Amino acid sequence: MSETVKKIFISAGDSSGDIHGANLMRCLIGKNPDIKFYGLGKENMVQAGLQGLHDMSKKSLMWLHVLTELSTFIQMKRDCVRFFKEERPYAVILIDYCGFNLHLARAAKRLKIPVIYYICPQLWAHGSWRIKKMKKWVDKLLVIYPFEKPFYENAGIPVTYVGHPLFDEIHQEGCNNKIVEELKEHGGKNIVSLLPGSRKQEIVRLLPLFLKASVQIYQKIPSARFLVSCSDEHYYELIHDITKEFTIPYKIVKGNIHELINASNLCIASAGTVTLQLAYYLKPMIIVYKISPFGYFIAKPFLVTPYIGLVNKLANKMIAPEILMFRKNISWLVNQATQLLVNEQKRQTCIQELTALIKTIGQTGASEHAADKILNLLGSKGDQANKTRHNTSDAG
Amino acid sequence: MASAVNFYHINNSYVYKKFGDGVILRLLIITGFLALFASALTYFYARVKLFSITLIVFYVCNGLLSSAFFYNTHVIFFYIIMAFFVAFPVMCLIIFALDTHYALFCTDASFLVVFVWLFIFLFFLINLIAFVTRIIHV
Repeated sequence: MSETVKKIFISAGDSSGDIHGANLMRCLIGKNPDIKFYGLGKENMVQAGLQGLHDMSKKSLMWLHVLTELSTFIQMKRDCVRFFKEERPYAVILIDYCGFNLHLARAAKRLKIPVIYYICPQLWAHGSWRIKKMKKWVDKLLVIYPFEKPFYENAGIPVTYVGHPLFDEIHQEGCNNKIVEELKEHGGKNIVSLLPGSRKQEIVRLLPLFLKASVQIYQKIPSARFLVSCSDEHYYELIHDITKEFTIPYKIVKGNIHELINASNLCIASAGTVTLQLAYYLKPMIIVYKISPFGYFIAKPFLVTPYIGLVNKLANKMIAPEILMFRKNISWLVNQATQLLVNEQKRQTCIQELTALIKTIGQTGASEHAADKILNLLGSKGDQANKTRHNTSDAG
Repeated sequence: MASAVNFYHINNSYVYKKFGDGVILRLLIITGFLALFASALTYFYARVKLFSITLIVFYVCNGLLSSAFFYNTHVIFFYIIMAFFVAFPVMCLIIFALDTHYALFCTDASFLVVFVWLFIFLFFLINLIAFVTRIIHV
């Protein structure tokens, strides 16, 4: 193979990381066509030119489910480490998925390969002691929220804020106005969207609560109509089975998340990146996260931030009502929803604060910035890695 | 370890001679419960030093209780309890503490805390059941 080809290892485990990883890869290849990517990723990254070391299409596991696939993960790590040793990539780029990626970071660091972490784990929210691990095993962090920069800088880790790649994707995908109008026709003027999340556990945990609250909202505001988001078509049957037990005027919307958000007057959403999408479209929202009492008890000492919603954390104040639910606080949810639908002043205040927030964080170009930073780093550290590579091969 | 928490020593104590084992057992179970409650509270509010102290009190009380209930009659069961409900959770806590201080493992060790709390509750529950059974028999 030609000496000009630069091999870069890249790893992303879940679906969102796969999309962000693919965008980053395209930007890097656009700036330097000699780069060739190897590593772990799903279909988007493979389409962008990744030569996958493993099939990651079904690997998006949480909590104890990881144990069922433990041997596969061990094998995956072994293969990656073998690749590091044999091919000596110019850099290792890790995207989110900290449970597995930190193992790769340590292995790469031991072999003196530069490690870049793009979209860091949310250590500012919980488990902040893990920052020491980042400092030990990562050379450069590319963070997507502005408040992450001082957080990591204070720990002495080189860090650059590049912006959130989600805004690039929203910009690229756009919004189909025809579908928005169709959804609005179904809903009238009080459309409430229910966004329980994309994972099965989230749907099972949150959707029944959202629907119970929706029944009460419908009793208070008979003109209200409900749109239920189904972001992953695999779970359409599940969502349908849960929803059909409730007597409210609803429609399940497969995909088309931008259109669904755009058509809504209010969104009830699980805490997660979706709240940023809602903020981008300036939609009043209620953020809900459900946890068992035992889970809350275990996690409470590790929680660092007072907010569970990203928009509130970013604004550093409560601009959207949020609740960490370990009881069925449906009446709270109903009250907040009713106020945001009926009380125009409260709606406007929420929208104004979201507008101010989006002005500060809603810029596009995160993947481009990240690609620039990575190429800069490769310019300096990549040469060192190259020297190490030659020394190792000479010694061999 | 077992001899250290052997109820034999309590049997020779002043309190035992004066009041009998019923009072001591009650004191231990109440102190154990209060220590459990205090441990939960100090853990929840992340008071690490207080949590360590209350946890030591909890393990001493419940270790003595287990010794009283099982050491003379079911010695193997006693050792199993000590291994599972004292040694294992303490080891988990030590591993977690070391990981938070020295960043030893790639895997986040916070899941060990779940085991600790599950075993703490079970440990107290076993002693409580043994205590209630003993009262009923007496």
